[in-house]
Amino acid sequence: MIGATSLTKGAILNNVTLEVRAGEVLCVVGPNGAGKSTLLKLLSGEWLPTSGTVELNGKRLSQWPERDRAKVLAVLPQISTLAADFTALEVVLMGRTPHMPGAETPHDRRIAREALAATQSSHLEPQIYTRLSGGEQQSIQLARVVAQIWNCPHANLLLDEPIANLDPAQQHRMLAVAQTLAQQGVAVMIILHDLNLAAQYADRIAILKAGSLTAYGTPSEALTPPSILQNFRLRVSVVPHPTRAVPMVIPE
Amino acid sequence: MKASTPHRLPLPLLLSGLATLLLILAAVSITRGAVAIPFAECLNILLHRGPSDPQQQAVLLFIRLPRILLALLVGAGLGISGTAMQGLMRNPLADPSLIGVSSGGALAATLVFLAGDTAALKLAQYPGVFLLPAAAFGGALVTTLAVYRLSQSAGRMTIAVVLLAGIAINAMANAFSALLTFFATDSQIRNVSFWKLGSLGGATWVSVAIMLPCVLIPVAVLSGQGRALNAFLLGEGEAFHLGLPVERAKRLIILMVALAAGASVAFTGIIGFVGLVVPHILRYLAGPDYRRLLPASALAGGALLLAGDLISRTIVVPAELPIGIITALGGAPFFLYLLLRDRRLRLS
Repeated sequence: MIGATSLTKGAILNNVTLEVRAGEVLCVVGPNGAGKSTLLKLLSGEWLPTSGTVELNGKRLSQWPERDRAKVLAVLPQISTLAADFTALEVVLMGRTPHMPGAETPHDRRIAREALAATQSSHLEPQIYTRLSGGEQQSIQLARVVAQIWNCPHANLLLDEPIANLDPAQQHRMLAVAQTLAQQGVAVMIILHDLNLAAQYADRIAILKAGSLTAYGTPSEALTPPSILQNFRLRVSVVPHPTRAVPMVIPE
Repeated sequence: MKASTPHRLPLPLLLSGLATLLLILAAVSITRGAVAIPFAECLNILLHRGPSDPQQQAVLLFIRLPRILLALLVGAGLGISGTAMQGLMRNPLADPSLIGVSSGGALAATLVFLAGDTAALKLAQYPGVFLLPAAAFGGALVTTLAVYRLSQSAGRMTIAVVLLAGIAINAMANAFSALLTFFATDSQIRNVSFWKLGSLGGATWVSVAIMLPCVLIPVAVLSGQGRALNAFLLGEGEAFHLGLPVERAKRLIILMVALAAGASVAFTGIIGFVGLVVPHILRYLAGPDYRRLLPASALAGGALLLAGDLISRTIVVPAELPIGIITALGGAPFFLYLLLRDRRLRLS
């Protein structure tokens, strides 16, 4: 669980209070430049806020020793460039870094394979990472962060636009992995651009605009035509999804 | 396209293979040179078995043995520093000289060579022997410190700035060296240029003893940074998210590289290409994992410099070809080969 109270970072983020709850997917949406990635960097501890606090599992983020923090908080940044000729399995094993003092154990290898299976990329295991397609590389990176918090109680996962370069089937597969993790008790936050994907996979949605939190609630609460017009300057109709109990956003 | 299986020599095999190679090279090195000493005789001298020729004994104990050990230490220091720098910079072209150790050392050495003829220094004969390495080491540390300070802002070290500041500081130190040579006599210029080509000829037991901690400490410390450098390959942010002490690791690596490479420059001048080529050879054999590359590159660097020194002192007997020429002559074509092979791989 991650709790942010009155988070402010310079002029980029202003007085944001929100919670990433265990067992839930929180999707953060908003126009470009709204401060979404800044929020993620503050929640992960990579940046320090100008004011406000972040709590990880009830304890101030700054008081966590680095390795202990990494055991319960995994982050997938927007772009991961890796130019070295590691195999996919070796990349996923890097996710075990906070758990292994020296060389990886058979236990780490088993978890890495389970993470590959969970992201439906077991078939890529022996392949050289740099020769995979963009979508395949992204699923290996997801497997890496999944391996980092695999079977850890009170785990948290932050994903920054994880589906940017993926085709529709890959996008759904990726988000379904995040949703499954949340159902297993992980607190998941995903930065997304696609409102309909957010509506479908989020338990709650937070909308950021110009550094402020302007809407925060269930998909039906957050994604209303007035809220979308105000935040995205986009006229939309919101209709019920034909098969699921979630709203569907259709631009006019 | 059939995916080629990557080479992944396991660490114990890799290390024992390199150690064997190193021992063979050392065994050959000990017998060859201006005075040939059969291997059996070498063992006799070393193990105090039976009477031996006093000249051979002196050559072996006071010239050849310290020289072999110095080659091993300098090679190990340069090899592991090169690997650590390439990991830290995430750049396969990085080498220890990037943080200014060579140019700073060279500037200080040039100063010593120019001042060396003055009466004051001639009076101080004994300190004069160590003035050159001490000054070169000092010069290396000062330039490294400048690069380090320039790259710091708000308590964080920006790696891209290390690279740029390194280039700028190197250019400045080289310019000052050039300016100094403008005022130098022909013989001073000759001394400076030979120093810059590197030599293991000045090896003594004292220099070996001073080098020992300057190399062993960085080898031990850097060998433990494999996981951090692996994570750096993903990115600094990723390394942070994996729970690694990113800033501490960066500082430690720069400090250890400055110690090992600075001490190498101090005692042997500038020996290029070892730090650049060693990591590339090892990546080909053992893959990109720095937990393997770092310890292996110490052994491989030692072996490479031992081989280079063997060639340098046997190819034009009784003269010596500067070691820097050998490492560049061997290293540059090999580097080109790796480049072309890589390009072919990517095109296929």
